[in-house]
Amino acid sequence: MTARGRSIRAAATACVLLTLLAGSAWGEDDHFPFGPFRMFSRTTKSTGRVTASRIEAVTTEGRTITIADARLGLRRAEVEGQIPRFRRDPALLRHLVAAYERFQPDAPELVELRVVNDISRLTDGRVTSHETRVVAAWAREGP
Amino acid sequence: MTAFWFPAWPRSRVAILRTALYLFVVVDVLWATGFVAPHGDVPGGLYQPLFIGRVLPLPTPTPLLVAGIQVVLVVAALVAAAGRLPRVAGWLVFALYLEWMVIAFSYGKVDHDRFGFLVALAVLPTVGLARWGDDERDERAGWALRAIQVAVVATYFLAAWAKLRYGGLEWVNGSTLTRAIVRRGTFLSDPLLDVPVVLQATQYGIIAFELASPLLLVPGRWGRRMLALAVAFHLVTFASITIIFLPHVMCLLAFLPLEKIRAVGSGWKPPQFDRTNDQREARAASTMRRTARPKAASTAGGRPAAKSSRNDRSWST
Repeated sequence: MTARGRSIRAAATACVLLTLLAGSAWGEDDHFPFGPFRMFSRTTKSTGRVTASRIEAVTTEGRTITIADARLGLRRAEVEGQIPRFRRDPALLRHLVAAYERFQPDAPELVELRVVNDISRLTDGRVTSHETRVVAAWAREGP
Repeated sequence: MTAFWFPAWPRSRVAILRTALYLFVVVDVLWATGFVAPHGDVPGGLYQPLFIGRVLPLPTPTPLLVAGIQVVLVVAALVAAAGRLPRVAGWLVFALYLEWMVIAFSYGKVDHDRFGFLVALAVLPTVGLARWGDDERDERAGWALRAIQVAVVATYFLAAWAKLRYGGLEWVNGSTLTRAIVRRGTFLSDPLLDVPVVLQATQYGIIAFELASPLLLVPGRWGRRMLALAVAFHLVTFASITIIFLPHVMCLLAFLPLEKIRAVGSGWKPPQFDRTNDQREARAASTMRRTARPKAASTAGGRPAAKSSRNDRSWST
């Protein structure tokens, strides 16, 4: 290898490593691919709660259904990642409705859609109770 | 330092790794990370571009854009996997795969199993031509492999740091794994919800494993043990919560003496890294009787392994 080739590689290595270290120290997911490796870095207190979100909808026929996230072209964690936006502006749920209609063109129309949290409460590390809470809701306007 | 970052390793090791990783790109794009392609049909109002997507700026995904990238990426990866146009095809794969990742992770969730794989895609084109069976030692090959290895180790090590940054000591002392199993448990892991002490001990074990990950870079026995532990860690994680960091796992191949797989040419011989051979070769080396090498290690694919040295016999030389 030429001296120049070695220098370029050494400089690139140093830049990537420094950026990675800075990303781990101060960055967030937004700084991908240099953000912190925070897979499963969240924790739950032994006496606390575990939350999993779910999408519930009501069809024009009046049936309440649970929509699997994959039927919206999304993953559950993606819907959960956008919950702060949905809380701030529940009208954004119309995008989930649009996604449902695009991925299920033959399915009955939706008149309501809501993101709900299934909450499992823990006591000393064991699940002791369950409850459900609505975090954001959307309803079709007009007749 | 120079010896660490620029080891002279066989080009064939890179050639084989390249084939494996570029073929994995095809598997990943078409199947393993199957959630990306549908993003083209998700309304643009749900697209929340990452920093890199805002800076460049990359377009909001549409069905046409996503399908186009998918096709070109698969074709480029197949060309690169065949060892053709290693630089042009390689850089194209890197650029398009990075964009594929931006499309993947700009909808509210970023995965953290890609760093090593992206580093691999970035460094593999720099090696240039490298063919299976080309045992010429080359510092360019060594640097590329070392960069992938360090990226893998950094992923584990900095993951421990992130757990402390976000979870604090509660990560090891709290109900971290209980949460994971409540959300994504399997029939194998669900029963563990009744024995929280086992889950908490596992939390300590995970942090210990991640902090010990630099051992992967140690040549010889400790490196091999750590590699086996890493593979076991990923298998148990998959059995417990159905998550496997496949792109990252693929990068573990960079720790293996892949050149020992000689499928090219006449006949296939199994890789020679069983314990018996290691021990026999260590004895042979210690007595400096090079002619006493076991026959299986001295021939490969019907040709004498003239360029082999003692280093070849380590999994992470």
